[in-house]
Formats: sequence, C-alpha cells, structure tokens
Amino acid sequence: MSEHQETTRDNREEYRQDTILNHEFDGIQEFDNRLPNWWLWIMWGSIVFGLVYWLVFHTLELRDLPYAEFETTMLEAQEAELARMAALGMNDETLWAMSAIETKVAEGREIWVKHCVACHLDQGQGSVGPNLTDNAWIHGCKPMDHLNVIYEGVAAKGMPAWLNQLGPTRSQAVTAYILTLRNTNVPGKAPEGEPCVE
Amino acid sequence: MSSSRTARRPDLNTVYTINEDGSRNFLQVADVRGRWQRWKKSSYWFLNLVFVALPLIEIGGKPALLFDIPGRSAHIFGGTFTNQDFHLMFFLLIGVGLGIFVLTSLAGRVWCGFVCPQTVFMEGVFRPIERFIEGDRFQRLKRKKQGGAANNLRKLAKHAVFLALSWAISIWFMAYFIPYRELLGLLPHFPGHMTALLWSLFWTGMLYFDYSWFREQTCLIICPYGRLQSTLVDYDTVIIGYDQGRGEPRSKGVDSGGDCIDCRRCIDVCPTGIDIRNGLQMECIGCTNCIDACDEIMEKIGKPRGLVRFDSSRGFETGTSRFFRGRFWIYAVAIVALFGLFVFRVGSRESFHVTVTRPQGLPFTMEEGRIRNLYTFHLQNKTDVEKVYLIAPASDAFTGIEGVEYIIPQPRVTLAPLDDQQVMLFASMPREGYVSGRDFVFTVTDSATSVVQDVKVRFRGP
Repeated sequence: MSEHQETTRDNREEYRQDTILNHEFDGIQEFDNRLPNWWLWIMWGSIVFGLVYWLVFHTLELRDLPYAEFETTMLEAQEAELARMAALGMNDETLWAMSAIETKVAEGREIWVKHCVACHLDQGQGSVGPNLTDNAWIHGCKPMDHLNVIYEGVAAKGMPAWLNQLGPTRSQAVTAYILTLRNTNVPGKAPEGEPCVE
Repeated sequence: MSSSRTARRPDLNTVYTINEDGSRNFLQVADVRGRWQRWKKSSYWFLNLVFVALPLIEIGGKPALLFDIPGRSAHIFGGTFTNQDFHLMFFLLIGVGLGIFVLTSLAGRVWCGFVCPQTVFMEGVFRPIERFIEGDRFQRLKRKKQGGAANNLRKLAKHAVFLALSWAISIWFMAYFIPYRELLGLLPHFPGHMTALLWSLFWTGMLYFDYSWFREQTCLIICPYGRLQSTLVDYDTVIIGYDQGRGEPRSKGVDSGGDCIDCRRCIDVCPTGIDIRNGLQMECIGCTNCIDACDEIMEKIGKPRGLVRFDSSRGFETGTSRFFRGRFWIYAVAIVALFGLFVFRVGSRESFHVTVTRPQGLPFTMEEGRIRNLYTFHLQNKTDVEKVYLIAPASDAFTGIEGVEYIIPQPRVTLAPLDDQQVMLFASMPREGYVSGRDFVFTVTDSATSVVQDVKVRFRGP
C-alpha cells in the first residue's frame, strides 16, 4: 500500500475495483482487478485453438502433423523428379543426344571443373581416377553405365557417390560432358578396363 | 456509465486504460508543446529517416545493411559476415542489452520515450496523422460523441491511411532482408505467392492493430522492459517526477497551497494514462509530455518551471544528486569490455574458412604397396571479392618419413564472392614407413593478401 493513499488512489465508491486478495508474501499483496477484455479474448481464443488443434491433428488425425507433412512434401518432390526423368526417357540415346547439345556440355564442363578435375584432371587424362579420354572403360562403356558410376560412386577406389550432392540433372550434364571426352586420347594415365567395341 | 459519475482519476491500484468491466478506456491524448517535444521530434524524424534510407544506401556496391537469410550472410556497414561469424552476435546482443540497462539505471526510460520503434512510429507517425485528420483532443472527443456521416468518413479516411502506412512499413522492413531493387521487383508477384502474401498481410495487420487500437497496451502489458524498471532504477536514477514538496497541497487557487493547481494537464497529455504526481510508475515511458505541459502552466501562472522535471529521487527529496556511483563504474567496465571484445573479434575474424573432411567409410586406400589418404578441403570465401587460393603442403611437413607424395590436382582455387567449393587432394606414403598418429600440414594461402591458414590433417593407415 502506498504511503500517499489519499492522493494516489481513486477512493470514490464507483471506482473501487481494487479488492485486495486475502494473501500476502513478504509484504506483497495482490489486487483482484478485472483483466483486460482483449487479454481474456486471447486466452479463450488460445484455449479454443488448442482444443481444435488437438482434435484435428491428434485425435481425429484429419491433418498431418508438421513432420509427417514435411515427409509427404519431400516424397512428392522425389516422385515429381522421378516422373520428370521418366518423361525425359533417360537412356543411352538421350545421353548421347545431350552430349551433342552445346549448353548441356558447357553445364557439364562447369561441374567437371568444380568437382571432377581433382582426380581426373582438367582434360580427363586421369591421375587418381582413370583416364576418360581413351576407349577403355572399367565399369562398362554405355552412357548409362557412366551415369550410374556418377550416381553411386565406386567406394573401394575413392570415387564418391554424387547423386546427393549434384542431383540427377547435373549428373546427367556431367555424363554428357564425359561423352565428349571419349577418344580424344589425351596422354595421361594408361588405359584401364575393357576396350569398348562400337 | 451513469451520467452522475464524474471523470475517473488515474490511480496506482488500477490500470487507467482498462475499465472496471475489462473494456478499454481509449485515451484521447492532448497536444503538448515545449522544449522536450522539440528534442523528441528531432529524434523521431531522424530515426524514421534512418529506417527509410538505410536499405537504399550502398557501401562498395553492397547494401549498407542487409541480412541475407537464405544466403546465410550479412552485410553490415561495409563488413561481410557469414554464418561462421554468428557467435559475434553474442557480444553484440549482450552489449546492447547491457547498454539499455546502464541507460535505464542512469537516466530512466529514455529509450522508451525517444528511441523505441513502438514510440517512434506511434508518436512520430501515426498520432500526428490522427491529429491532422480528426483534430485535437477536444475535437476528437466531441466528434466521437456526435457521430454522424461526416465524422465517420473522417474516421474511415484515418483508418485507410493507417492501413496503407502499416502495409508500407511492413514491406519496407523486408528491404533489410532482400535488396530493395529485388524487393520492388518481387512486389507485383506477391498476389501469386501465397506465403509472401500471407506474411506481408499478417505484419500489415499486426502493425495496423497496434497503432490504430492497441497502442499503449503494448508498453503496459506486453513489453517486458518496463517491468524491469523497478530492478534497474535506484535512488539516484534520473527519472521524470513530480516535486511533491513544492506542489503539495494541491489547490485550485494560484496563491494558496502548493504550486500544483490540479489542472489535470499532465494527465491529459499522458500517452499511457497515468498521473505522474503518483510517483514513478511502471506505465511511464519517459515521454516528457507532462514536463512540457506543466512548464507551460507554470509559466502562465507565473511560477518557476520544473514542478514536473527530470531529477533523481534523491534530487526531489534533498535537492542534491549523485551521478557517478558504484553501479555506474561496474556497468561502464562491463560495457567497455564487451564492446572491446566485440570490436576485437570483428577485426580479427578470418577472411576464408577451410574445413577438412574425408570420404565416408574410407579412411585410406592401399595401392601398389602405398597407403593413400583422400581429403576433401571445403574452402569458403568469406569476402565480397573474388579470390584465388593456393593449396600446398607445408615445407617441413611430415619430417623423417621417406617417400611421401602429395597429389594436389587443383592447387589454385578461384572462388567468387561468398562462394565455396570442395577440393580433393591426396597424400600417399609407402606402407613400410607408416607410423600411426602423424599429421600432415597443408597451407592455404590467399594469393591477394598472402594470409596463410595452416590445415592439419591426420594420416590414417592400417
């Protein structure tokens, strides 16, 4: 209670909202003034929202919880990507066709410079990784074989799997670029694997 | 409300802006003129100008202030910060927080009255517009009572302007996160972009609700800062107060009693609806309205100014005040230390970052009697300019072991501003020479500045 009770408090009967509650801690007492209506609306609104949320998401399971929704969205995105690839009809012929498209090859070259030159060197002549400019291939000589090696890698030899990092589209671009290297025969690492019979 | 009632008085036991039944007692704040108002208005103009101009200013081709969240970088007054620099925020936030504490302990709530965005927009933008469209306190009260088409039209005009302004502020706030040219180009696409549209509408709604209706409730009931007031101020803190010794007893007559003539001007001009004569209250946002209002009255009745003024509790009671006290020195040392650390850390942060990883599940490979390790260097250019980095084995690396070979296929790495790239490199050595627990040291050199970072990597083998 204030020392200046007479001036600091509106003591007229019609304004006496301030009933003092019947408890005290360390001299601190509490009024029982009415809460602001806007505050009460937020409280009741939150309670109603909570109940509706509980019913809709947990009891009736009408809608997915955020994590499940995230997984659904990711799954949809993956399926869309697969459908897009299927629509493109990714096969040896498409990859060969890609290797004839200048912009595709340029895109592949850009990725090559960033990620592949470490082992295969700038012109594909090979150092740690095999020479890609000859006509000998360790894991098959079809374009789809190359794409699969890029996708899944060859762990035992230190070739990483690139699908997660590059994604399908960029991996295909790299394949298209690699196909342009074939038979350029840049002096480098000796041929490894089986020669390709065209 | 029955007509027999006289006007309610603000008191210490209730919140004046909330009625007995919980409904809102909407304040119609009276105009006030005076020297503090001039200071305050300059502050509002300056801060509003800063708010609008900052995203437009460019330093070295980059925005002066831009928080690029998807790019995980920030441009702050010419400096470029990436997510590795995020720990600096600790020093900055603690420093700013402590700064506000110090300010409060020395000079009370000047932050609230002069600098806080809530006040700057409310008192510097929205209330003047309301005053312009609907008139002063007297006219507003009269119009509210009158009703009628003309007054409703006026009200509608005010709310339309408020909505438009809220929208403009919420959009412009985004210019701190998206460069403004890009933002203006994005605007026409908002209606087709559900997330962007909903967020901009949400913030427009929040601002509109705040400045058209909620107003001082934000400061009184939502803002936590005012609640800390009682723990931050002390007997010597300069606050806005009423000189009880000089003012009491209040009397209507100029010549009888104290200097306070109980004219209620200090209450009418208060934006939070308190009576400053009840002493320092949590609701006081230090806006200085009551000082100027009372000074004006004192001049009119021929009494000296300063019945309501900035002074410490000690000053009001004894007439003397103390500024440099223990609390001041402790705070000063803490603040200087924190900001010093912050400035030091900002100055000494690295210009590029190297992280070394190995291929998963493949610590080493064996080839023709040699052990080979593959390392992936993740290089990150943290500057705003293109850089060329040189990777080389340190000259005295791995001494005492014969036949070590390094393969660094990409010894020169060119990185665009803020770009990053993974570079692979190899080290190999004969199996018979292998000793476990030895490290290689590579150096990564910024070719432009010759700054060198040593990168230590462990050589793994069977």
